[in-house]
Amino acid sequence: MNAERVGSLFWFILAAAAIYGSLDLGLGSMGQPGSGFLTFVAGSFVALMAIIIFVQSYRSDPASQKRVAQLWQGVKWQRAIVITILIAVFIMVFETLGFFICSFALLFIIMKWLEGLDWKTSVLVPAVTIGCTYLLFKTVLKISLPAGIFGF
Amino acid sequence: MIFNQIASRILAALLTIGVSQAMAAYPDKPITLYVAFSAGGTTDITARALAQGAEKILGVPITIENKGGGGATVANGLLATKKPDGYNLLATSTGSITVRPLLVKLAYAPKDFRVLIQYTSYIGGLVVRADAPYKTVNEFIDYAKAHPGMTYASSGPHTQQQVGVESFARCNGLTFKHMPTKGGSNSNTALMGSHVDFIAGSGSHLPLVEQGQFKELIIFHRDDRDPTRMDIPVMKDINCPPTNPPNGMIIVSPAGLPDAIADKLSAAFKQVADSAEFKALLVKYNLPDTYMSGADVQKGFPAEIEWYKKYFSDIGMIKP
Amino acid sequence: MDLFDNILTGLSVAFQWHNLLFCFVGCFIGTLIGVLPGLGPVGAMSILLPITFGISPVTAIIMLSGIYYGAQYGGSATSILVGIPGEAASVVTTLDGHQMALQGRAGPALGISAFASFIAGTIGVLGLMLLAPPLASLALRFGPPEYFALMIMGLIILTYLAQKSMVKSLMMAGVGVLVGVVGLDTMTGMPRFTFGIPDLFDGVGIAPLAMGLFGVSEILLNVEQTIKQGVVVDRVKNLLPNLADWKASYKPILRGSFTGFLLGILPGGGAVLASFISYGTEKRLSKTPERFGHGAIEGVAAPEAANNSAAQAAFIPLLTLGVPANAVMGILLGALMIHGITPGPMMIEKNPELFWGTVTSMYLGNIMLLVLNLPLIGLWVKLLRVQYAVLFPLILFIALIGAYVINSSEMDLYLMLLFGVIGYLMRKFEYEPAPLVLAFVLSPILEDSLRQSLIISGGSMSIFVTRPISAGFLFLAALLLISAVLPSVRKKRSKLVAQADENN
Repeated sequence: MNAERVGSLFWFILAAAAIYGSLDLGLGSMGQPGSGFLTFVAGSFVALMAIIIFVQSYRSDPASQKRVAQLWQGVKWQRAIVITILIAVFIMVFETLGFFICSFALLFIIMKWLEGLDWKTSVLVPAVTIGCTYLLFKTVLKISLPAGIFGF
Repeated sequence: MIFNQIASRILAALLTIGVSQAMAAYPDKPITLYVAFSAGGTTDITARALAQGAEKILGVPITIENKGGGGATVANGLLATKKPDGYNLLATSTGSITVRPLLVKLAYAPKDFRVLIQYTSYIGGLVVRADAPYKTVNEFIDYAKAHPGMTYASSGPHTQQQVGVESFARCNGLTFKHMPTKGGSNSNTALMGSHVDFIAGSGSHLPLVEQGQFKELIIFHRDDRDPTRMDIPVMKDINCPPTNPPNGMIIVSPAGLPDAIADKLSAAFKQVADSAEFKALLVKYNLPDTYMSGADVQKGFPAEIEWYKKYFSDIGMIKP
Repeated sequence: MDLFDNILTGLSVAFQWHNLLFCFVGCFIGTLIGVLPGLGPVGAMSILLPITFGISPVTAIIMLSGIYYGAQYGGSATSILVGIPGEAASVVTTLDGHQMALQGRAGPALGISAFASFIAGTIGVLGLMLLAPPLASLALRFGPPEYFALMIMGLIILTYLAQKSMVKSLMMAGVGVLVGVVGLDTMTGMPRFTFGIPDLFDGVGIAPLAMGLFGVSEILLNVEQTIKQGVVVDRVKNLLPNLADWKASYKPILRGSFTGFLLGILPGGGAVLASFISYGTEKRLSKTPERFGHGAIEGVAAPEAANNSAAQAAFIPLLTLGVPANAVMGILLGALMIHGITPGPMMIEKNPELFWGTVTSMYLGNIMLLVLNLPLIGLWVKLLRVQYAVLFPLILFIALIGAYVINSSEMDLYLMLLFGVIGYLMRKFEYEPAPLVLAFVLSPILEDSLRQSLIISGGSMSIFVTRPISAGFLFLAALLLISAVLPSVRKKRSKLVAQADENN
């Protein structure tokens, strides 16, 4: 599938959803613009641009265009997915397990498991960074970080 | 079976320790006090003064965050979604909580809030530029009749002062175009730049009146003239029925705030409100000293709602 | 002479040892906060406000101002080094600044950024001293129609940030406006596109949005690459800008300073607007615009100058009219009120030592920050040479914590991740994040001013063209749009002509 067309289609659908939502909110009148007024205008604009890009993709040189699969060729996209999942899990447990455990776990897992760094680096660097960050927030900025159910 | 019992007991114990620690330790991190109007207006200035005083009593910083818009409905809607843990408070108007739902659909209801204190009430009037061609309220009315569609700025749709202006308009057979802003200081700026013809002044206009840039033509929300400004008429002086009575300026928290925390906060704020500096601030902006405890304010809600229901149906703003 | 006396008054205030001390403390804390993406000076200033109780109002304002500037300097450093803009005003710096860092030119980028900020600060202070009252009255003439026209012009200029397709940039700007709509409607108070999620009632935060679209997405793109190396090319050329850099930058700095100063007076969005308008201007004026986005030093010098002088100019509405131009000024307003000073037209006359003392100490603050930041450049550059495998988890960690502490909100983290993934996909499909983020910042002002204008005009669009300032901006916007589209139209035409010739 042509990358340009898939991309523009995505934005078109988004714009259509915005337009639909804006009608729900009410456009009001010109003298009393309603809640959905600007959304309608902006959504229509985005949709128009998406159509232009879509059409342009037919008019420009096919050899210069990429296919969707090509965007992920030759890169280790699995690593991007792993990182995304790790971040997601971090966020989910952050407030429950607390700042220290989650931060250390995240950094350690990435460094040791994903990047294959040695034990010393994977433990020391996170420990020092987390410690300094904590001190900074606690003493200078007086901002508290979640303690989690274990109390720290 | 036994394992479950033990586990649930341990869990219960942990939770209790956690909860009671939380309560005993309140407050142990900064509190955010939202302000329902923009910086520089009377709500903002008084809220900042309260915050600064209460910070010393409570021992934690109280950060102010302005969330103007919708005549306080934006901030109210936002606060209704926050946890009732005592770290999210809001300085707003009673009217936006009790009265507004009568006029528009909103993202919150009176039951979503717990009032901690009322420390003053709002004032309002019709304010014009000092260099305008009309110098008295009667001249203004004549001018407005000759030039229909004058524009005015207010602190938001259906705020106390805006309703006041509309009552004024209705009584004199005038039509105005209303431009809502996020607060008194934005309205002041709009008038200073002559982008609107007049404003529904909400208190923050007073320093500018004193400095000679603005002129207040009529005072709303009072039955009699203001003793400190006897030269400015009130509604009865121009044969109009009185406008809506003033709303209170209050500090609220989301509903469900534990009594222990509520009491602590109310006591701290009351202490600040009683102080000489705070009272001097109120005098400076001509704000009345109308302290009421949070509980009393909430008790008064049903009566206020009924009163406004009648008021609005009488003047045709809502169907009875 | 009056002005000379005022400067002397100011200097005598600024050089008092406790004012110097608090200025330094403010600058230092500010830099620290600025370096941490996400937090921003507003949070720090609010929290540190109680410290100012026991001290005089002048000292308090000096310290708080120091934090404000320091944060700007620090924010630029992060934008350049790791490509994560901690706040809206630093977004534009990321475009070329980070590219320069990747090319081993982090030193010159940081250096020119510091110097540009300093020079702009100097110009800003001069402007403040000489032009405050007349500029304040100019600012008053900006009503809703003028703001709307300015926003439209700003959105058109956004497309100049585009490196590839202008259509795509325009579309991203449109999407940015849409994202800005999420939250509670500021005129009716009703939720829009919040999907019932209370955390979205306040809208999408600028920090999670920018940090996600720029920072997290870049991390995701980088981990895909097979070659693990330092972030920068190994040879770091020099630590400071060289003569060629200065030659290229001095005019952008001057232009940026003026643009920034003028735009900074306008309440709401002044610094952000200034940063990308100056960037767009430089790109437009440059003989080699294709270098922009790939490490053109003018693309760092101009926005940095602009946002610094805009920061200075933001004081004007506060100090002369008592109207706070942004949230930071709101805090200063509060600070002044505690100390019993009502800012307003009378303030300069009644409290001259406050005004002039603040103005001169701003200048001192700029000097202090320059002195603080220049030596740090060497340190930052060393940091960049750390292995990416070690560096990126730390960057990620800082981004996550930075985004969390703004509101202690889990939702902000989810949003950052979401926008990180979206940004990653966007970059793959060749859509640029900068116009989206900047349009997002402008969206609320655009909407409010549009609605207010239409109310004033009673529904007639003519209000935008009958008022001179607003008409001027719209005309400029139209010119810019045409001149941006024209080259590609001409190219297509010449291509067609060439083809026709071939066929004949």
